[in-house]
Amino acid sequence: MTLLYKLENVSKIYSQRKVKKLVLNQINLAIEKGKIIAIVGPSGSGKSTLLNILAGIETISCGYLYFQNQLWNQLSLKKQLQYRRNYMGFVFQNYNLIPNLTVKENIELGANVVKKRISIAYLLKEMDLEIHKNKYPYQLSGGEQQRVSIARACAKNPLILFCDEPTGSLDGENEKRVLDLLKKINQKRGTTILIVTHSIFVTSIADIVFQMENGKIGEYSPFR
Amino acid sequence: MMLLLNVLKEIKEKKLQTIIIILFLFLSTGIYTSINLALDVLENQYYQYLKKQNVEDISVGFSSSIEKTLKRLSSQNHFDYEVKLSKEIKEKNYYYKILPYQKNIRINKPYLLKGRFPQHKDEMTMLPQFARKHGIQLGDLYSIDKKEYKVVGFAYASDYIYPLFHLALPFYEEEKENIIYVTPWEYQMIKGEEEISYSIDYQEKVPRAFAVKINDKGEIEEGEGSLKIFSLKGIPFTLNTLERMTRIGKLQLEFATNRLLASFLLFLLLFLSSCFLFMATKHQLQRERRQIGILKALGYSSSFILISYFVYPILCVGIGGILGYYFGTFLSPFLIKIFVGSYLLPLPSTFHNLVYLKICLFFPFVFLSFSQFFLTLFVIHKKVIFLLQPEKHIKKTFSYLHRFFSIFPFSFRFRIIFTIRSLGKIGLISIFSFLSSLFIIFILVGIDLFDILLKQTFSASYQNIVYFNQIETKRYSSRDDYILSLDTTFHGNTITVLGIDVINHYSRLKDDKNKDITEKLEEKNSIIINRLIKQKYSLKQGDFLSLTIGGEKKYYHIVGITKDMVGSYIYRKREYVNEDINLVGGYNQIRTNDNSYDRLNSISQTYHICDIKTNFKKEIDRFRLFLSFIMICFFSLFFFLLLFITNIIVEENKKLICLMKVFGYSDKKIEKMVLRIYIPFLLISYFLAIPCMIFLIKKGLHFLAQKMNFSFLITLSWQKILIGLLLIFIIYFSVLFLSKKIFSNMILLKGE
Repeated sequence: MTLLYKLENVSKIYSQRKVKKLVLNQINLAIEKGKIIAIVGPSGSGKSTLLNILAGIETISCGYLYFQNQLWNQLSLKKQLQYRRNYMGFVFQNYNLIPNLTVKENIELGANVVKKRISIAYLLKEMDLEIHKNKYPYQLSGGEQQRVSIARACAKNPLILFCDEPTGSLDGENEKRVLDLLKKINQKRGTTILIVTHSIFVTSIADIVFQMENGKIGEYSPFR
Repeated sequence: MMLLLNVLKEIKEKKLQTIIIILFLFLSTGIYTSINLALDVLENQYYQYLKKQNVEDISVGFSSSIEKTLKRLSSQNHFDYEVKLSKEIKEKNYYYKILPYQKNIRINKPYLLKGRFPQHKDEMTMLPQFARKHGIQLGDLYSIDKKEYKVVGFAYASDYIYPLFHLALPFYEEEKENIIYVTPWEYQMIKGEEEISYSIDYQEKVPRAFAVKINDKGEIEEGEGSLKIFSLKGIPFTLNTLERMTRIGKLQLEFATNRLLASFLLFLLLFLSSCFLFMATKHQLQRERRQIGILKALGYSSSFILISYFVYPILCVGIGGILGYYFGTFLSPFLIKIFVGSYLLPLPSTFHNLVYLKICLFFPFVFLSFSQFFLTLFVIHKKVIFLLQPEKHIKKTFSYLHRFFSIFPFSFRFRIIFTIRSLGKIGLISIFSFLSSLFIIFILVGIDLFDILLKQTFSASYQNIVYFNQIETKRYSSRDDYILSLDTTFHGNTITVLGIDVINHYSRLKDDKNKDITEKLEEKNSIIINRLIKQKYSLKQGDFLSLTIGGEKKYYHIVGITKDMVGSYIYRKREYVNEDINLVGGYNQIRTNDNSYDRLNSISQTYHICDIKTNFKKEIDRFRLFLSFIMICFFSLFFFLLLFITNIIVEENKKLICLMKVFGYSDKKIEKMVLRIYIPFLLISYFLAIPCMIFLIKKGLHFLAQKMNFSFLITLSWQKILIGLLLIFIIYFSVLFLSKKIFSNMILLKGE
């Protein structure tokens, strides 16, 4: 068992106009390499904040965060950037595609940041986007746009893929297709996938499911 | 209330953009108010001064025939005239204009600033500027013409508002030039070159003059003539009397040019402010498109939504305009001091003029609301359903270009996409970098324009030119150069033929390559022209020139062009010029290093080369200071323009920048891909500006050569070109540095 992430008593407090809000409360968590982890919970439970902290785009207020056995807080900003560049991929609920770039170029934007990358042509084929490669995001459906977003995130062959509500804007059919794709990526490349979601369908592909509520993390119970 | 809150939120969101817009409004209205207010006060003071001191309308050189004509015409033409006497002395390094003071002076009354006018012998008044520079107080003794005088007052001569009285000092030097009033008796005792003229003062408005021709018999004929003079109701005057003397009227010219400059700057800066607002509003409307759609769907009227977009420009205009007006009012007394610095005019007191406050608010509002109105209206009038849908950025031409560039690597393509997406910004940056480059080239060429002029013209090793009243033949020394100078006309303009000896000490004629071409004058009908004549009449070596020297019209062959640039001069062998006027060995000028000629009675004036060189150098320093000031102003504008545009670009691409940062792009890489796309446009603009500015300067100087009596040599070395480029890049990269700071501090979240 190789640990990718380890969180010890991680808390996050947001301060706004002297009002402090505890978003994450003493989180203890271990994430294994090559697994699909789903974090479910209602809005405001702190699941997106947890994802952002794991992805290194948010800082923690207290506690310890280890990435590949290295204390994240002690890494220089340059090193953090390097890790994010080489090991992490992101998929967003609203796709965040660049409207002026074609499908192919959007994927290239994700690939261009690293030297060792997956061939764009291969990705287009794998994601079934070949016929759309010269189209602009506005010419695609929601499901297609999310596939482009996944292809963009996978282009640099990341160690871990962070997915923030990846199926939140999709209908049932497209949701299934996206989840199948994520499962395929995990199986084929061994990519660790961390999904934050409302949807209980997502739990069907997950190896481990956590439940978040009021900033605390616990085991998932479907009857809760 | 809701509108105001929305505007305050907007200001908070785009602090830097708002500050830049307000800064430009502040500068435009501040500069406009300060210059105009200063000029109003000065103009008022100037005309009051002219009226109070009864300053002449025109002046006429003395001749016995004119006295009779003036007497006859003065009553029927309602003008008054007075004989004016003055003497000029040069002692040590100082130039003095001596004037007799009489109580009953009617025209050009002197203006007393302090003390009193001379009443007894051994008393004098002088210029306060000269006294201040030399630490002279009232009651001190001051010596001129080997006699001591008591300084009893400080006074101005009202017809010397610009104190121009010697050829060697075309630019006013406070420490060197002094105007002195003494009693008429003392005036008679002082030895110096005397000038007699008539000052004429019209009781009504001065009638318009018209050009006439005087033939060889002295009769007036209409049409073009070899000697052009002007006539004012039957009195023939020399050319400089058509308008007021330069020393009186020069300030008037400044009023007009400076007002023009103030208006130009006002509208230029307002135009830029409205461009900024246009860009900011366009970006805001893109962001708030959906919000507008929702408001419309909720039933809010278009006019209500439209008004909300006017609050921002009104607030900017209000702050910028009012601050600008008060800043201008505060600045105007300093400007008056600067204006008056080169003139002899009592310092006026300043006042407010609320008309400028109205202008400071009205014009900026019109400029800013015009673009705001149409842009907002364009978006608001779209259908609700259209506004609620996400905007499609892609145009057909854009996608064609996209395909065309698909063969290039991604980073390059990415920059191209960004470039063609924001053509408006590219256009504005290109135009402004082109204009800035024009200014840089102008400054780089202009910075040593006068130095070259000075070097090329006054490089000879002699110190003095001694002018004689008439043609002499007696040779005083074999070490000096004897010159015969005769005036003739060419195309209606006076040009001077200088007869020089081929074997001489100081008057070697050299061409642009510094090659001695004096010996070419040995040929019988050969002449050498200087650069000014070449430029003025578009002549070249080998051309023939038809000239009348000594009454006979002949064709002369141009065998060379000298590098000297001041004055319209034609050089010919002195022996041949003497032959033209049936003389042998005649001369009326001596070029020498000897100072002893001053004691001769037959000399009219001695022209000291070192004095004019010093005078020019001082003016060059002032000119350089002025150029540096202009350069700093323009560079600041360029800096803020670039800062504004890059800020808008960062704002517009906030989401993209955040996304790139999340993907692991470094700030440097993002800056390269998003903000450095303008470098090629800066380079193109700069290198395009070089030939354009050289062409403009050449045209301008050609025009100047036609109007004035000097020409310039334009040089632009590659070192200067590199310096200019470096300056542009320093500004650009300092803006990039600041912008990089902005997106370095962006939170690594979703960007919106």
